[in-house]
Parts: sequence; C-alpha cells; structure tokens
Amino acid sequence: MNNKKGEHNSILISELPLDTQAIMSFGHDPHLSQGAEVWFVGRVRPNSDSEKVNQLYLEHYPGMTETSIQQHIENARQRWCIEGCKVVHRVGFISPGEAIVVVGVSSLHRKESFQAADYLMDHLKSCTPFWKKEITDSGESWIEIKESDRQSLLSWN
Amino acid sequence: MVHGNEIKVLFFASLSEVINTKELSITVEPRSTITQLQSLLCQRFPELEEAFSQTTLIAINQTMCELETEIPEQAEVAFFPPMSGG
Repeated sequence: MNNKKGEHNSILISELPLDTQAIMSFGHDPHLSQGAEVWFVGRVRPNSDSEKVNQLYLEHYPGMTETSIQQHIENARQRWCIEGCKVVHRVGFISPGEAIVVVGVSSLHRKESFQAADYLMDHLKSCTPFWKKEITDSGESWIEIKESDRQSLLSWN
Repeated sequence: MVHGNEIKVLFFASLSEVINTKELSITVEPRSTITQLQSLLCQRFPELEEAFSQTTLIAINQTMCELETEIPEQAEVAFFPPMSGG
C-alpha cells in the first residue's frame, strides 16, 4: 500500500516459513530506505519454563488481524516520521528457531525507526488478534499476555 | 411479524476449544445486545458460562465492541480471549 511518496506499508500473514533475508529488502528501493532501517525478527524459543517446546501454534482472525496491523502502522506514522513499514507474521504450526514475526521500519534517522519498530512489536504482542499455543511433551497450553507486555503497552500512552 | 436477525458467531483460540466449535449461525431478536447473545449461547453451550466469566473480548464485524453494543443485521460477532502475538 502506498500513501505519500516514501510512505509504504506492507503487511503479510503467512502459513509458510518466513524467508527473513528476502523480507528484509527495503534497500532495493531508494524511496523506502533513505538513511536508517531497523529490523526485528522474533523466533520461537526452544524452552519455556524449563520445559522443551516442541511446537508453537499461532491462530489469527483473518481480515481483522490485517486491519488491526494497518491501524497500528498508521498510529506509528502519527507519532514518528517513518517511511517504509513492513510487518510479516507467521501463523499455524511453527518449530523452535523459526521466525514468528519480522518487523521492519525505515526513516531518515535511526531513532524514529527504533521507536516505531518497538511500538509495533508491543502492539502486535498484546492488541492484534493473534493467539499462541505452546505444545510440549506434557501437553498444550494457550499463552496468556504477561504483565510486562501489558506494562510495555501502557508505556506508549 | 418481526423477523429475527440471523448472525454469524466466531470463536477463537481457547474459546473455540471449550465448545469444540469455531463458527455457527444463530438467530437473535432484532436489536439484541452482546449480553443477550451470550445468554442465548450459554443455553446451547453451558460450558461457555465459565469462559464468558473470564476476560473475553468481543468484535462485531471485526471491530471491537462492548457487552451493551446492539448487534446489527447479519453481523459477524467474534468472541476471543486476550491476544498474544509476536
């Protein structure tokens, strides 16, 4: 989605493994990378509370999830002068070490990109329709939002 | 005679597992609220009573709403637990 020149949003929900190198390609477009690029890659941890995680299952609400991410990006644009903005989120069954999410932001100077990427991650974690389930040898359990995540979200108010 | 409002109801994550259902159609009285829909659903699925007593988020036509919100004609209503992405 292109807004003004230099403002480009890209949102993708994928059931397939994320090719992080291919996703991080702002640099190929001079309009989208004019100085600073920040990329964050979130991966499935191999352990949770000392127990080995076999797989993570991620559910989403098709349609509402994309609209919600779009809204978070628009809110980030209100706060910081950023150019390209990319959010790619995996859903379905994901193995330890595989990428769950890739967030990329570009701007003229680094601080805006760092802050906007952090803002987007906090909002992806706690207020976008995704739900994570951990699958271990002892069973399956839905992951609840942590108090620290709730506090991170509040810090943006 | 006033016809009922047939709506689509979606359940996500732990809520869908409680009743082993992801989606259903149900007819509610015109101008019913989410609270009235919840009562109707609990009659059909008593196990939802406990789930609804915990934090449950609600969306109508993919926009977050409150318990008192009136359900529009042919709406899509979704119930889900607090979100956990990223």
